[in-house]
Amino acid sequence: MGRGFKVRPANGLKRHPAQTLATYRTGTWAWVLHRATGLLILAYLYFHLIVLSSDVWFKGSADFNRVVGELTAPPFILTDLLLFVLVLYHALNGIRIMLFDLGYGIGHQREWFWGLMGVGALLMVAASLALWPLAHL
Amino acid sequence: MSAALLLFFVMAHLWIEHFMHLGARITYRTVLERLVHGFYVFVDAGLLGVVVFHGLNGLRSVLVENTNDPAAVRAVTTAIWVLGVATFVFGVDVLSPFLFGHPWFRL
Repeated sequence: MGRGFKVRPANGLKRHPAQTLATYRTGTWAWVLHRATGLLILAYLYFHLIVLSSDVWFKGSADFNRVVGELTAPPFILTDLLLFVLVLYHALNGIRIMLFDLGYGIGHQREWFWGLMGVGALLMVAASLALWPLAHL
Repeated sequence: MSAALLLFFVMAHLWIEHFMHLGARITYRTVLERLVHGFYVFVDAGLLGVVVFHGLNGLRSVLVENTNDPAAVRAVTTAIWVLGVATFVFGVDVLSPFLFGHPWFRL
């Protein structure tokens, strides 16, 4: 996995974090967001397993059905959509990274980023249209 | 490699769980009936294994990227492997009532 793009002044003095952030461009932000979304998805995995295990182990099928039914309430559908944003970003940027690993498109990394984000936005609209009607209002 | 496998499993999981029967209510019985089929068990168990490996390997990269101490890298790698195996067993245990009729580790 690649390292972050860190710029230090030629005289060796440390920059203020805000100055470092100001040097970030599309590729660095893509890398930062890739890591952040990856860690959030990993945290969700544990949350998901703990919620499912507490239903399946301790409460039996009736409570499983009740809890899964409650998960169709609008706040949970919104959470699902937020999770979908994280997964979509991480997956699409991951495809971009895999293409670079294979030697394709690295000279146009910025165009690839915005192109794939456009695809992501369309998929997000489609997922929202599909999932939102399921919310029990 | 794990990322490519993950793409397949996530898309299969999203399609099977959320879009194939869009609007149908997920219940204990529907999950039980789905997991009678070997392909669905393969997708769920495969997704669990690959997502745990990919996620924890990413976490390991974040944790060790600023250290050059081989002992620290080894310690983090070992801890991540232990956590990964424990997480996989935990995940299979969540599936176990559907697969075997009873949980593996009922407390």
